[in-house]
Amino acid sequence: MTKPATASEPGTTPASARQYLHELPSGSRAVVQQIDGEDEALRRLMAMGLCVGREIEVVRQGNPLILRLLDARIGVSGRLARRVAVERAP
Amino acid sequence: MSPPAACCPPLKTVARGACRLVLAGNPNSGKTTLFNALTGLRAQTANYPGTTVERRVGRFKLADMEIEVVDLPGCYDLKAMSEEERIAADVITGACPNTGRPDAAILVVDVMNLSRSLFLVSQVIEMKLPVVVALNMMDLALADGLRVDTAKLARELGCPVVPIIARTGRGVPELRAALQRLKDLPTPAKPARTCSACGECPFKARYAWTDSVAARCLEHGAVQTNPWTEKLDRVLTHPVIGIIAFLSVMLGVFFLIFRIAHIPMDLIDSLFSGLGAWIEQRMPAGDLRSLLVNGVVGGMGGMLVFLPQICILFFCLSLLEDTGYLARAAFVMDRVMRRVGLPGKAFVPLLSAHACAIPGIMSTRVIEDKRDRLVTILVLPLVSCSARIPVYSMLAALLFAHDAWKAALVFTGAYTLGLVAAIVAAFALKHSILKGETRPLVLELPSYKMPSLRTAFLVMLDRAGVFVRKAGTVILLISIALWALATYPRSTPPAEALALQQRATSLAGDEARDMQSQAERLIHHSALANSTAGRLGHWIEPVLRPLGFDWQIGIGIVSSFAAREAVVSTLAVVYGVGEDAVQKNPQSLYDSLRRAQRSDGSKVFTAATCASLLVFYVLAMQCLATQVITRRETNSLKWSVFQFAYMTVLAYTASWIVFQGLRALGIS
Repeated sequence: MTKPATASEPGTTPASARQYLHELPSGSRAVVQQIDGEDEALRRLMAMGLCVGREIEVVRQGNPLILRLLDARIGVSGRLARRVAVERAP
Repeated sequence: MSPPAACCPPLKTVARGACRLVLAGNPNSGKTTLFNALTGLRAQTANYPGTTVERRVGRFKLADMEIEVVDLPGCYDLKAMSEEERIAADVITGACPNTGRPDAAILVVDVMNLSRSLFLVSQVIEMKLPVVVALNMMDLALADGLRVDTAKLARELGCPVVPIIARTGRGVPELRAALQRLKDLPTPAKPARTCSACGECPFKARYAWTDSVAARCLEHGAVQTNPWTEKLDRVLTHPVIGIIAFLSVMLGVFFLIFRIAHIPMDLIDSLFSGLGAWIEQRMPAGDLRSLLVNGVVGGMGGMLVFLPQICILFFCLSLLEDTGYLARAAFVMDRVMRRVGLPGKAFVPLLSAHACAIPGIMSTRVIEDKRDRLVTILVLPLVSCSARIPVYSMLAALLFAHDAWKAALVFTGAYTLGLVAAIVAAFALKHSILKGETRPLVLELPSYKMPSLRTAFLVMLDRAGVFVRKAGTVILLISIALWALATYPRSTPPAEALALQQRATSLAGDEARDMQSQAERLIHHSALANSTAGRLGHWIEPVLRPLGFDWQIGIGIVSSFAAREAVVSTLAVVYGVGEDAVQKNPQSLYDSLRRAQRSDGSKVFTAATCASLLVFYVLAMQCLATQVITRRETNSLKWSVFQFAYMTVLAYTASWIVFQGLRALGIS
């Protein structure tokens, strides 16, 4: 398996309580905690602005899901979503 | 961050005094619209050498200077691994063969997505290239109450920033003025970084900078993202309704293709047959006339007849893409297509191929992953295109002459077989020689907007031009070669025909005319039977016999390599009905085919033979025009040959099973 390329920020959610992007309900907001791996598709997502600390919104959950990222709507395959650890924003 | 290594020294090929610009930007930033606004019809499309990535180059005049603009592939990140992004980076650094280092760059920035766009801007600025930023979508910003401090942005970036609305052309004169002043400007300084030591993620550092610049230069009003987009998306990206909506849209496009395309197609057809008839009247009979009429004029007509479908399809696709809808279609279809191992974007080509495989293959360029794209191209010709319709009609009539329902079932069965075969072949290829996971979907769903007719028109002209330039000449040459096969060696007309002609001269009226045309049919038949094509038919008969075909059907198969529909008129000639019968009285063709006998007196077109022939025509690769396009779009003869080989083997095996199976069941 690929190793985490980005270390999680100190002082955030413990790993056990961590949620992944594909688990969030539609309409929820969250802050990116960690991105596992770095392949071409994930890199593209990162180039579109998905990096640790960024707030995102799940517009429509599903596979693929729709993400609001930096004022853009982006369709993302569930396979990638399960590699993005997030903390839900209130 | 070091610039990517140059693969070779830059070459200067541009004319002296000309200035070279590159146009870069994110996908959906309106880059191509701006390119069209700057250059209009003076654009050319070719591939980057050794790749299948398209290179669009246009020209325009600025004061008295000739400017050459290269429209780079849309990208988010110059350091990414995809072919498009690598090429974009190479062109900017001058590492790409045949281009040389550009003099300046225009960066198209979507103001609605400023922070993300600045990511690419900062990368280009770091390459030490003079830059002008074209701040696009200012109309949408205004509608959303978003204010931009362009002067401040220009100071932050260290380069001119020009607000534009590419779709309407607003701001383009100011952009040209800024380009003119560019010569005197220094290369912008490397943008200051607010964060240089925050760890391993190169994206984070750059994004920290872009976020802060965007925050300083933007003033949000009551943020109101396009309400239409949200509402439409609720329906169009729905997992079930979205798919139904997509199928309805494609149905509409097909309806247009079938409904409208046949008008210019008939026109092209009659124009070229008129031209042929005109030449026949003016020239004495002979090889040259036959070459001109049947080879050159017929070949040109046979090539240009594809153009209406190509034009309509790309016009519609461009409109759909411009509205933002095509991204939604790829999104909803991704769920379905992934099961086969293809991305959602493969569905548009797969559906388009039902009209014609050529525009279908040309439209696979939207598929990013090379392997996914190759698989789609390889399986597309299995889908039943409109050229197969005449063949299906003929066989349906032979199988079930007086039962419209059963004939309709033949059609449905043939179409289903084609689509299922394409899906199974895609699955098999993805699990064998082109193994690999489908690239997971990452796709921006841009805001919906009004499409530009001008862009659609330019896209259509561009695609038509590519087809005529790249495929046209080869198709023409092949038509001439096939003409030669069906014409040489010449044989003496049969004595029976000569006797008929002799007798006709002494008679008058209808009887004489009948005799003349009977004689002509005999002459045509014997000329074709004795030609190289006829000999090939005889020669391949042992191979075709297990499928239930005789040598005459063999001639039909050989001659339909140029185009499938040719088999109907060829069979009309070999079975002595005369070519005219195909149009004037197809029933007479079907009747004589039904009566046709083998040398042992048994019928040729039995139910088993018809079914076997039908399956053969559904699955076989019998379209040289498609092969030429596959060669161009895969940039390799190898895949074109592979496509031909696997489809022929598939068709042969399936036909063999059908014929032998039906015979074993006692149906013959």
